[in-house]
Amino acid sequence: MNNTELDKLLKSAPVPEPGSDFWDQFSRRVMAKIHWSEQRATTHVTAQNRIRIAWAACALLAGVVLVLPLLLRRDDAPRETFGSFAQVQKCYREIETMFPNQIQAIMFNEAGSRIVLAEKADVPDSTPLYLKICGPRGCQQVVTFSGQQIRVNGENWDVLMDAAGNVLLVGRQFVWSSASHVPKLGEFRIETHPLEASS
Amino acid sequence: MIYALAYRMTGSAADAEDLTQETFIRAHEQLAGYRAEAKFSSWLYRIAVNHCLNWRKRTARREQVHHEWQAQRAEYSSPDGALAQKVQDALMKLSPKQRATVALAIYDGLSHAEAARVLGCSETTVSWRLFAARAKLRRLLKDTKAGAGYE
Repeated sequence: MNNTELDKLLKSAPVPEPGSDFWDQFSRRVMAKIHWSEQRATTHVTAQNRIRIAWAACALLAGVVLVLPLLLRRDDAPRETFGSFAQVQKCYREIETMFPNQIQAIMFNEAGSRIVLAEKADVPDSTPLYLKICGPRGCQQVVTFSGQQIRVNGENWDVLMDAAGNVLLVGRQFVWSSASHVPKLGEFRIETHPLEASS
Repeated sequence: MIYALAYRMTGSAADAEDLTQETFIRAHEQLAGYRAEAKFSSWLYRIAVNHCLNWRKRTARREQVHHEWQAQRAEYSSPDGALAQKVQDALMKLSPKQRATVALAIYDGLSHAEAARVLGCSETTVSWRLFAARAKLRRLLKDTKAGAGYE
């Protein structure tokens, strides 16, 4: 069988028609879902508040656990600073254990950390991506996935990973790719790679 | 075209419907980020392919899809249906990236350069994936002829 014969054979297999009302209802369904997802973004804030409280409690507890031994015993051993890459990795693993397939993003900055969770555990399994974005207002570290959005400087950026493993950031006015090996994007300095890779 | 691509990628009509909807929703959300340098259809294909590649990772749905396949298989009682099912079964034995390449380059007739842009890889990679996919499909479908159903 040559290529032409094979292609002819492949094309002779029809795609089954979708359900009878699929195309009739298509635009209505898409618009309804868009409307729903916009509303979800609003209700999401309430869910986030609950998460914030839980996170604050965890942070407080972690603070006590970390600070208490320091107060009780001073030594000169090197200490891991909060927000180090290793700590971000560890934190991600812990939260992923608690909320499998629900994490959309985890953000760390000087003000603290923020977890964005999907309402259902329907976030597809994919490589977690690490981003460090430094700008005039300081640095933030983000763990997220291809296809998710992060908020930087009041703007939503889409995070995508292409087939070659390069990370693309898509904003309203730009597209930045890690393939360019240029770590600067306007006033921002960006470092990004899969979370499991070393920094 | 997006529905057909999604069907070729998943082998499930129900998932193809879902993925088609999701693709258009995602396109609506990302419209502001669309750059006119690329063809709109290529941009839309890219969103669809990314969604379809993620689909394979939804392990929780695999069992459901398997049942759907069984149901679809029962519906395909005509020779054309049997042929379609055999071709789709063969496509499902390719790796997802090979399948995406076949769907774009063979079914939708994109040039290697266009398919490479959609898939985010080089033209050489597209050529290689097509070569490997054709070799495997030829082996899987060696006893099948167009319009003849199973032999």
